[in-house]
Amino acid sequence: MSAIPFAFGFPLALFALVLLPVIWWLNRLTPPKPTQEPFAPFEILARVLKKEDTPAKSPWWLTLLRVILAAIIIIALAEPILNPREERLVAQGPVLIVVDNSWASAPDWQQYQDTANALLNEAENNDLPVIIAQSALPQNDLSLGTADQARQVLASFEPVPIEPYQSDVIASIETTLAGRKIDTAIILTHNVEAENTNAFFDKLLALDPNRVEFINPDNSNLIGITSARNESTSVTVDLTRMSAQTDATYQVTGYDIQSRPIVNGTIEFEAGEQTKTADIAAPFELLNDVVRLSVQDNKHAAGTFLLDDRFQRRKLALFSGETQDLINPLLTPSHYIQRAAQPFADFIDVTNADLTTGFSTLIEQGPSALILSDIGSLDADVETELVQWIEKGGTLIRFAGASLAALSTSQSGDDPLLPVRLRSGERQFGGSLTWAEPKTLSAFPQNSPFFGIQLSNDIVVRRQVLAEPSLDLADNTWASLDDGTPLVTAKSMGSGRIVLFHISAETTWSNLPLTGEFAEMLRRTIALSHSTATSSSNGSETAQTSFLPPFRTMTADGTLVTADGSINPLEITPSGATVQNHLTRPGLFGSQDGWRAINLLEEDDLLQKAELPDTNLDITTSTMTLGSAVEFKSWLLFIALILLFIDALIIMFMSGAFSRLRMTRSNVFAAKASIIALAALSFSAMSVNDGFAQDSQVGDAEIIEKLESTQLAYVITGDRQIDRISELGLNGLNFYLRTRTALEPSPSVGLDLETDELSFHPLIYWPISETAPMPSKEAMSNVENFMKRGGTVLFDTRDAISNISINGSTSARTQKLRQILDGLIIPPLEPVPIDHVLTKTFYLLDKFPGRYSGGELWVEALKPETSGENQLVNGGDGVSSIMITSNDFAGAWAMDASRRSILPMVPPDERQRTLAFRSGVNIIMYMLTGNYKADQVHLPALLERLGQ
Amino acid sequence: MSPIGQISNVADQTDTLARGRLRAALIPDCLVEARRVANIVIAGWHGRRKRGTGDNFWQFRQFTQGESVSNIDWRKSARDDQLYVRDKEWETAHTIWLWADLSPSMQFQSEMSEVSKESRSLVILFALAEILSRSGERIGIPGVMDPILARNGAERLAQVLAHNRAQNLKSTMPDLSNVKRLSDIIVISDFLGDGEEIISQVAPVAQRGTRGHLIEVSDPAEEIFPYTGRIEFRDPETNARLVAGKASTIAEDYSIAYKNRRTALSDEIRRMGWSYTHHRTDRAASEALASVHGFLSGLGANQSGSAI
Repeated sequence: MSAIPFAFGFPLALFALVLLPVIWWLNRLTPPKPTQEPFAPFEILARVLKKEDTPAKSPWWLTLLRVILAAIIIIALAEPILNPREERLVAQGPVLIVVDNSWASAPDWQQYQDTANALLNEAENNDLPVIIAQSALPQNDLSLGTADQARQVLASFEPVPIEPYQSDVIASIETTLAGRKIDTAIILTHNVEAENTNAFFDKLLALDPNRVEFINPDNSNLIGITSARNESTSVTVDLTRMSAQTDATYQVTGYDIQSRPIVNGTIEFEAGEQTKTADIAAPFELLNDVVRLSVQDNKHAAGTFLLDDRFQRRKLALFSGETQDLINPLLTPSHYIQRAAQPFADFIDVTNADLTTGFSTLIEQGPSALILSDIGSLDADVETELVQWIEKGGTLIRFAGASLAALSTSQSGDDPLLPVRLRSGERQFGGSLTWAEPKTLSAFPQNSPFFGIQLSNDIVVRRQVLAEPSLDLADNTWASLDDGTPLVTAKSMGSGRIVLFHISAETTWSNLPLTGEFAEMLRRTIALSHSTATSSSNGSETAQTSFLPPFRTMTADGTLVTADGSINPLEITPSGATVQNHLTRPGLFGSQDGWRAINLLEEDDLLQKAELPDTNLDITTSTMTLGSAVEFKSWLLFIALILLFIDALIIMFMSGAFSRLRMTRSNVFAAKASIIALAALSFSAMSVNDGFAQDSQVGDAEIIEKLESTQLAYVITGDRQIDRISELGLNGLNFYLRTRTALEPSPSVGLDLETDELSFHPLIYWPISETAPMPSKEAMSNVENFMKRGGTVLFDTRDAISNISINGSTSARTQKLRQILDGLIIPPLEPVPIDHVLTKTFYLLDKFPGRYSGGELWVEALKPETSGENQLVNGGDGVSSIMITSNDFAGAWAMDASRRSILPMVPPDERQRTLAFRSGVNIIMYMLTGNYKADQVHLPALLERLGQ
Repeated sequence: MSPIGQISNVADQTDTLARGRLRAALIPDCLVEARRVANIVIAGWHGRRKRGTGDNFWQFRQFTQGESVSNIDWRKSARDDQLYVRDKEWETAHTIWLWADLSPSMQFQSEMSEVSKESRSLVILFALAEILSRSGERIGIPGVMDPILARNGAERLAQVLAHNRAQNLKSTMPDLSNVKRLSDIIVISDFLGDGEEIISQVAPVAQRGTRGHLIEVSDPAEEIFPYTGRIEFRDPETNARLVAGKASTIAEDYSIAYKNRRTALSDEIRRMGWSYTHHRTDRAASEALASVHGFLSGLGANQSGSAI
């Protein structure tokens, strides 16, 4: 090592500096070449241009610049190096090189390789035998050979994401040595404290080398993640770092299973802090997808933390029996449930809100719990599926409501999805006809999971559904009112559970949903549930050790790859704990549906410097200085390039390029402007084309045609006679509408409920025929969707005359209607009350006759809270989604081509036909205008208020 | 770095065939351009405003005894008891000799202009031919084409030039010995040759009473002299070379000399009763055309007269 840390890699090139005077001389001699210009008025120019002293030589400073340029290039070619690599191997005998290839070596692996190679070069120069070994993996094929052999072995080493030291390695070395003594032992290691560091070093020193040298990289910025927890809107991450001396800022990124970054956060360490707990805020929808958290710029196994489903939040699915109330979304039970559960659970986006068809797709998403809000009876198939699902571990949470209350006692007794038998109807306190006061809650019993929740006194229950008394009722009760009637009942079924809240989840039945107690009750209920997708692995919890196959494995630089066969499966003890040793690779074990994550660092681990063994041997420690050797070649060449550029600029300046630039600038601008304009034009042309291309789709024309005018529709029953009457009837009504009102419907169409799109029609007329086949499940699902999204179905049993029977039994068609409606979620119905808006939408009517006048028109019952004291008209907001009549409307409306009525009235009274038409008009107007007419009847009062 | 000026086709001076072909290729473009320019100018053309022989209607007048009966316009006369004669506007065939200098120096084009001087000269030549032959003048080129009277004079002229006879138009001034007294001469050139020589050629013809019009076509670079830095200038005619160490220093001297030359020449020409128009190739060709046309139709005669 010389006194000045400066050397040339190729000193002979410096002799070229002798040539510099020659370059100087040549440069002075040759002036820059003139620009050639043809010039027509040459004679005039010749007269003007006298013998001018054109510079035959370049100016001296230009020559100097070029000589400096040449000198710099020559020096650069001589490869000057600051701090040239020093000789560090001072050995006389066999050399042992141990390369630490554990997780922490991954970021600096190139340095390890380079240092080891440099050492091997020196060993080669000195003809020393070498053993080279990697510390983290056990090896059997070590040999004491030449440096060249060792170099090949070194090339096969690569970092692995496990703990650093393997005692077996020393044993192998000892075997290989076979009694020979090592002169120098060199250990290339990051000095991070690990479990068996001391044991390893002790064994190494037991080999008794003459000299021991530790070579460490600069690893002060190592950082590791020790744990991560999922909070409602953030991930809490614990980090530990190697050096606590300085302030530092780290970026932590969360990736999903496909290694897409989805969350990101910044963590700031202050000087002196070795560990830090920080929150990474993220939308909770994203948090469940996070599989891997990585610290940016720390590409090693400790800088990455893997997560499994213990980290995930519960997933809930919510079905509601109410029609989609888009006007008052804040008053629906769904809203209260979602608001209460959102802090601790995620709701699966139920795309198919229909329970009949949507259930199986929902189950595939693996919800922890299913919430049914006010859903009465269920389709038999769905019921079976639900029972199976619950028995496998699902949790069903039900809320009462009008539909549930409407179930008869016998029905609720048979219903396996209710924890207790319910009485039909509901119990109401504090109404105008009851003397009972609204009830409060009594304290939660000991056996209830709600035990311990502090109750405030202002919770009152005004209505509830009542459980039939039974022997086990008290055991199944989780909460009750102060008079002892159960409020929350539960029942275990298989490994799952059914929980019933005897109130509805909105405020008309009680004010419980407004309170924090409600959220807490819901949280405790949901906490009892567990993810059903992983319940299969729970099932394997038998009394013996099980193994999980590797699913994804972590590489040394902290990314996840698909596991190959070299990874051992993860052993799980009967208690569910994992068995890890220092050879267990971090990674995900299990399958796509559920996995266990194994991480390098455990909670509360610290990254610390390892203590060097205390011994009297000659131990030296140095750092890898590879990075500090500064090579100037590239910098010098860069400077030369800049000088060359300056020279070119000077030449251009001297030949007058810039003065011309000034002159022609306007032209250049014009050209640029035109190019930009052209580009913009072509771009806009392209985008316009795109716009057209995306706009139209197949079938648009038909949809637009259907939407152009209102179109009434009827259900094709299959009975030709009935279908013909339906068509003629609706067309007759169309004619009446056209002549009397502003509405001009297009001719009516028949619908096949299974295949046709229903949503184009405001009203579907459905004549019931006892001979028609039962509609299929898909058809009923379509109808239910249609009704939920604001459509109305008008059922007509056409049997008002035959329905009047002496014994009061129902007719065949009525029974058929009941069968059809059995699978649907039907709200409570009532005959059109006298203050219903239907009676006022166009004509003032008090009854709705068709061919017969005996039958009532049934519509959705008005919500009791809206049927207040002095309201004249009700039911304006939500149009009834179902109407049932038996008066045979279509029969009364049916006309042939010459506008003559086809069927006679019963009794033969043409006045009644007029009334039938008026009923039709009112129904259509009610359908199309909704609460508009309800407002219109207030007009006199409004005008009076306005003083007119 | 590209030079400012260029010779539009620096082909061998000796390769006349190649040059002819190149020029023949240039001619149709110039002809089209000339038509366009001519249409601009002709819009303001108002004939001779005299009664005479011609095709265009001038006036009706009463028939006077002794006139040829065939002159009577019977349609008009049938309207009343008078007899009317339809007079035509006077149009007389006048010979106008055209000349465009197509010597190598005319091929100069700088980046400040879109066309070479030669190209602009041809455009003006054809446009004049078009206008003049449309108004019934006889046009010719001394030594190349005898005067002809044809509606499509410009096309005929272009044909003649295209058929490889344009190399005859190499000198600044044509051979004017055949030119008759009552004809006009229009010469388009850069007039960069010897001024004395031009004067000596023009003087005898002008004394004979022939009217003449000289159009000087120059490139803006020749006038502004935008050259800076070290430049080697080359004469397109003789290929002589001259190096200017700092071209910007002589710009002022040069432009004074250049303008003096033009002033001297134009003064001398005007003194002899001819007109002298200067045209730069970065201006529209119609400008030169309009001004020459003004002189031709007698409008500028007074002006040129007053200039004397």
